[in-house]
Amino acid sequence: MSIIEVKNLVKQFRSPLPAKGGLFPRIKNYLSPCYQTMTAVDHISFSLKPGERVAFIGPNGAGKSTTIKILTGIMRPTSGSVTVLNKIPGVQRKSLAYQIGAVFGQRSQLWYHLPVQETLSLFATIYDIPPLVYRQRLKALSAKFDLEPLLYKPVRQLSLGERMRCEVVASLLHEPAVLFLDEPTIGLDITAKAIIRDLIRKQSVEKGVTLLLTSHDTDDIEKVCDRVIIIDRGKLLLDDSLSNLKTKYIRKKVISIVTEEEQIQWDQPTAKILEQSPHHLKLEVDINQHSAEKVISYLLEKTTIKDLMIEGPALETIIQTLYTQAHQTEQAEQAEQAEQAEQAYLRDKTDQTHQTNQIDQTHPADQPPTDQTHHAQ
Amino acid sequence: MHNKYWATVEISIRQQLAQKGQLLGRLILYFVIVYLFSQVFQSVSAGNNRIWYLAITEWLTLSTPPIAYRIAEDIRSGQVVYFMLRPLHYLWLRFCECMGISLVRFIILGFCCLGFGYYLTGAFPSSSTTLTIGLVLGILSVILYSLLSILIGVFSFWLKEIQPLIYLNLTATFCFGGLIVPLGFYSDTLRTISFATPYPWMLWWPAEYMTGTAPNLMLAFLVFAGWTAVILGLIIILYQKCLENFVSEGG
Repeated sequence: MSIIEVKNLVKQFRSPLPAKGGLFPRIKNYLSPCYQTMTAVDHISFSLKPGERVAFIGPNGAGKSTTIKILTGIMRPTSGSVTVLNKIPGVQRKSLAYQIGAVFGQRSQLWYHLPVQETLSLFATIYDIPPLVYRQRLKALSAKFDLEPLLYKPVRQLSLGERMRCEVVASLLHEPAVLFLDEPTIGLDITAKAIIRDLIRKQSVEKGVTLLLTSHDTDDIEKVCDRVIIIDRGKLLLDDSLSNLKTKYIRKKVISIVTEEEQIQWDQPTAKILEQSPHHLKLEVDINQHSAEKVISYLLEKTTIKDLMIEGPALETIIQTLYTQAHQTEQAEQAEQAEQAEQAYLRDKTDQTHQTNQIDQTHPADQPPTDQTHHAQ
Repeated sequence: MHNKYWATVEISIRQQLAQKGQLLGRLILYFVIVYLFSQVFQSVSAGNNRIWYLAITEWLTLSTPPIAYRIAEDIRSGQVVYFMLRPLHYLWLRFCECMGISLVRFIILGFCCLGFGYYLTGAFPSSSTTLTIGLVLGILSVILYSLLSILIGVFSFWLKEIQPLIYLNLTATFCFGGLIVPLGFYSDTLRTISFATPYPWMLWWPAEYMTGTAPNLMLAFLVFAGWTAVILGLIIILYQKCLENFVSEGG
């Protein structure tokens, strides 16, 4: 059973076309602008099961936030269907709000001049949480997120990391079944990021909260999520588990060794030398062609290894490669379409010329006389 | 359900009380404006009633926060997204916040108005009964003014830039509402135009009532109720339309 079901989701926006030409066309465009339709989300389909932790990623302008806004009922889709917890978000926004939560890293839901506890108390009232339940939940969440020293401090006095912990607690207070996280660690230092990631994941595991996380930080994805959905220019590029993504898209491994011998002679085609210095060698293996094991066996035969390390490319590199591949495919498709259109045009033109010649040859009398022929007659 | 909105009023009262600097700034502004214009009125021997009129209209104007700015800013910054995720009506949430802020300002500025007005004129404008009714009228005026501000704010869902509308509203409040000069000084035509707008009922009427030159109370209440219904209706219809085509920009 799915907790979120998205089928053929499309969201289009209308935006005015920029004016071109001289003053008059610009004035005309200002008074009566022409619009173009832009597709932010283009026939996306996916579903999420309860308790899943999914990274919803893509480059800037890919359509991530638009999709999240549709899933939360803030915006309505142009076409396609969306259900979250068996509710249609655009129609049942208020009742859905009781079951979902959201954290937007770049925005705050806390009352700036007041102690954190005041906002949390307000949210308890807004979400109809009975006072006793609220106190119990606040106690549990405060202990888990280490909020006790922060509860009575005005929000303006908190550091970004502290504030973000409070933001997450504010979003979890009503125990949502689905939590949308939009760049929850943006701007945080390494320690604060690690704390937030750890807490979010723990909460999801313990309470079975379904997470849909968007982030440009691949560490967020690796530390929190188990599944990745990649979109680009509104289209779904990939929907797979994080482990599959790594297995499928890791084509090269880097083997670094520290040896007893000062110099190692590497003459095998199975791996390429990336770096070489005394007692140190770094090789790159294309695992589609050769196994890393074979390379290591050969190294072991040839030299005495003191230390060995095998690395795969970072998730960031994999994602970057996927984006680049998608863009290249799109460009290739566009080029192919343009070529086909040009060929079709040329073919039409050739056919027309051919037909004209045929008419000239078969029915010369039907043709109007040219000036020349007219004069000749 | 109503408890949620009341909780919003309560928290905005606390937030406003926490912003001591902002309150102080508003009080200073109030004293400066009333003092300066009272000097102008005294120089033309306008009488105590005019000074009280000035003190009351300024009190009502400065009590109402410009909620239209807040709505426009929510939409511009994308903050509106957070509010729309709550099981609440976004505009009523903002309205309740506006009421909380207004309440604090209304009470504090009200005491200043009475104290400063008495200091400048040496007498109260009318009997305690009239003043008490006037207080109710003042609250109604703040509610109507806030609703009008929300209506302007709703336009930011479409227009994105509502600064011209806000200025237009301020100018109309100043001219048609009789913010400083009572409508009695206007020409017949201008007065008729003014009475066709909601502005006089927000400022001129409560101030005139409290200074003892009251128009027909029942008629004024009816007009007030009528304008409230019209503005409220427009807000509901326009907001519904907005939600259908709402586009929250930015990531």
